[in-house]
Amino acid sequence: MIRAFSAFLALRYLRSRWINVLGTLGIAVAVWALIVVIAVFSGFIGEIRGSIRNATPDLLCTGLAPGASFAPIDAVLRAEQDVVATAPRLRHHAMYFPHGRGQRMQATRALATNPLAFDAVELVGIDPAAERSVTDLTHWLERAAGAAPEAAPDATREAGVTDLQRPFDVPREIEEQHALRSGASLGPNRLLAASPGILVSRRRMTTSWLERGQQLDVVTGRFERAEFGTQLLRVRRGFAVSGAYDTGHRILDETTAFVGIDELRDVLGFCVDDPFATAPQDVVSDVAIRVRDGADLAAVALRLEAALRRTADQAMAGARVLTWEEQNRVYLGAVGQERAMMKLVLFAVMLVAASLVYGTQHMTVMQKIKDIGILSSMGASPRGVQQVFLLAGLVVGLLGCGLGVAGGLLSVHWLNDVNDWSRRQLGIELFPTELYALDRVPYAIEPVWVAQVAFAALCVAFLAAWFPSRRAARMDPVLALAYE
Amino acid sequence: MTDTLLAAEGVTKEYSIGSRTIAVLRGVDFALARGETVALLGSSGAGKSTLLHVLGLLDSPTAGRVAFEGRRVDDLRIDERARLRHARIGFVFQFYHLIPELTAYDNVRLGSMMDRGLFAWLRTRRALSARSKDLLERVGLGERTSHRPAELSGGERQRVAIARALIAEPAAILADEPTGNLDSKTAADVLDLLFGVSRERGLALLLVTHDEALAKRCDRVVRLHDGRIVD
Ligand SMILES: Nc1ncnc2c1ncn2[C@@H]1O[C@H](COP(=O)(O)OP(=O)(O)OP(=O)(O)O)[C@@H](O)[C@H]1O
Ligand SMILES: [Mg+2]
Repeated sequence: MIRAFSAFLALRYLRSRWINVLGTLGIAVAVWALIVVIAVFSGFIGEIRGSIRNATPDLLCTGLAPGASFAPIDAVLRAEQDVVATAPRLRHHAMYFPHGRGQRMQATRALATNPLAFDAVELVGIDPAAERSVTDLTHWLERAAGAAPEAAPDATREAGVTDLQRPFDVPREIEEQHALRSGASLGPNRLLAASPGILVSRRRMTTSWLERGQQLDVVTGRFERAEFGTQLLRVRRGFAVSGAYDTGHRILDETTAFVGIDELRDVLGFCVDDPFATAPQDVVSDVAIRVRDGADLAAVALRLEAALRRTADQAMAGARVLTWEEQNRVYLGAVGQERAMMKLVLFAVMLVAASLVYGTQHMTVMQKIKDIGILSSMGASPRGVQQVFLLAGLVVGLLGCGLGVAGGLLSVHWLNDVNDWSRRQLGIELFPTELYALDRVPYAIEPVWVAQVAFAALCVAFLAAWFPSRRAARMDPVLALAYE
Repeated sequence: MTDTLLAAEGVTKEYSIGSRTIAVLRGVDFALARGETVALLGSSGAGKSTLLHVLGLLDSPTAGRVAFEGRRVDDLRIDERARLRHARIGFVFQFYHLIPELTAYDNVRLGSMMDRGLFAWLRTRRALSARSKDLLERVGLGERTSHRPAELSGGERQRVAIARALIAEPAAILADEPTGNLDSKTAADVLDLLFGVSRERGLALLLVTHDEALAKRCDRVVRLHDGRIVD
């Protein structure tokens, strides 16, 4: 039961002590920060998850033996009723040397800042028609060309592929134009056969000074059986940039270039047109899988993995089927971890606020020793005396909590307006959207989190007030009355 | 007197400071009848205040019993003692002991809030507030209700304290040198008030004082000497 005199005195004590404003503000700031920062963080995480989701197939079958054939694996995968489509993939590391980059870099004086003359990529060989049915390939191409609504501001038509259906085709005239412009060493005969296309990310197009139609010398190595063991064979193949893609997943975009899967098989020595070849012609390193909407990805992955391993096929013995989250486990885990750390750090602000509340309540109790004696003589029980100071702390907590929640929600709501305003008026960008290639600050308010923060703030204020109030309750009334 | 309101039976009170034990009360037998006024005399340090605190359940005796209306009360739970103290006993002190933040009116009103829940009090607050106003009127402070203690004279503060002691309609007033801090004219006025309200309301009054002349105004005079009551 809340006693009338406790509530009455708590409010009077608060009203005559402006220092309580500090405690209130402390709690409010802590709550505000916990709401705003975590909302932005969650927004970013949502954005990141979204982009990762767009860039990653539902499931990826990997861990296949080198030189594994697609057809038997595909048959096992498609036997699962929840699998809608599959696409073969072949991964291989490589480096590329762009032709004629020297001139462009000189022209923009970028050489000094970008001394690397080659770039490393992971080549991913895909079959566009199959890939489209499994991932958002078409959308990735549209984004890079600025055709998708959420495309980055610097996406241009010049970066886009000419034909969405045939993304590895380079229009002859563009390629020729380019070769003539940049390659003095390039004889006209080289252009008789068109180069196979390579898709680089929009981002890499800018950072590596690439253009559509540009020739890239792709260099890689492969092992071949030799007389004594194996030997490393260097392979060099000319590709032409057929356009750019943009999945929105930064890490993938920065490390990956797509080529036609048959092209890559050829580079790696799996002769696709040789009917007498001993190795399978449909070599894959992974299979991208699309699963029926609404199916439980983890369960399907487990079933597929089991099915693959049940076959006696040596190529599938070590097969793993990963969900899109598992494929990005480290990265997703890292951002989640960062948010958790941030919560912890911000909670320290709450502890500072708590010590403010503790300090003011303790001070009040010390100033009010005589009042405690008076109240006892008037018939206040120790519990009632405790309530006076506990309620004072709770009111501080409630006010701070209310201010913080209201301020936090309003701040998040007006976040982008404030950010735009400060960028225009003060030249300071509070949230660097450019850095993340976003046109607005993402945010996500999680009601559960807001409730948790508010509840925690109340608990903290309550605890902070509890210790001084207990001290007040334990005072000997006779000594308190005599206190000078 | 047979109608005993408050009684001490063989009450002793000892304080130990370090290894030394000081016996302040050494077997006090005392009874306060309903409506009776008693003066308690004794030299300084005799234990008058201590006895008052024990009788008012603010302090517990080392040995002996305190009875209220024939019922033993010194062994009650602390919150039951608090409730009894609130409902049946009013304290008036030498140094007024008002709460400095509150106006005269709020100091008196506070006395009506001690045993009520917030919502119960809010429901009856009109009646209780009117009572507080009436009491301030009765002690002659109808015009000074919104003054804080610091803005009142000593005599006025003591009147506020008396009004506060009366708000819960107690059966006894325990006054510890209520005029010890006042000049003789003001003291006489305050005492008139105390005797007046005690007569009007049939309150028992236990008045601690040093003043023999004042003591004569009471029905009975008792002395505390050497830790015991001597009539
Ligand atoms: N908490 C305490 N600890 C130790 N000794 C105490 C305590 N309270 C009171 N005393 C002692 O008890 C004795 C009686 O004190 P008390 O205040 O009851 O005297 P009093 O008769 O009211 O005196 P006065 O007329 O000066 O008010 C004093 O000697 C005092 O020192
Ligand atoms: Mg005394």
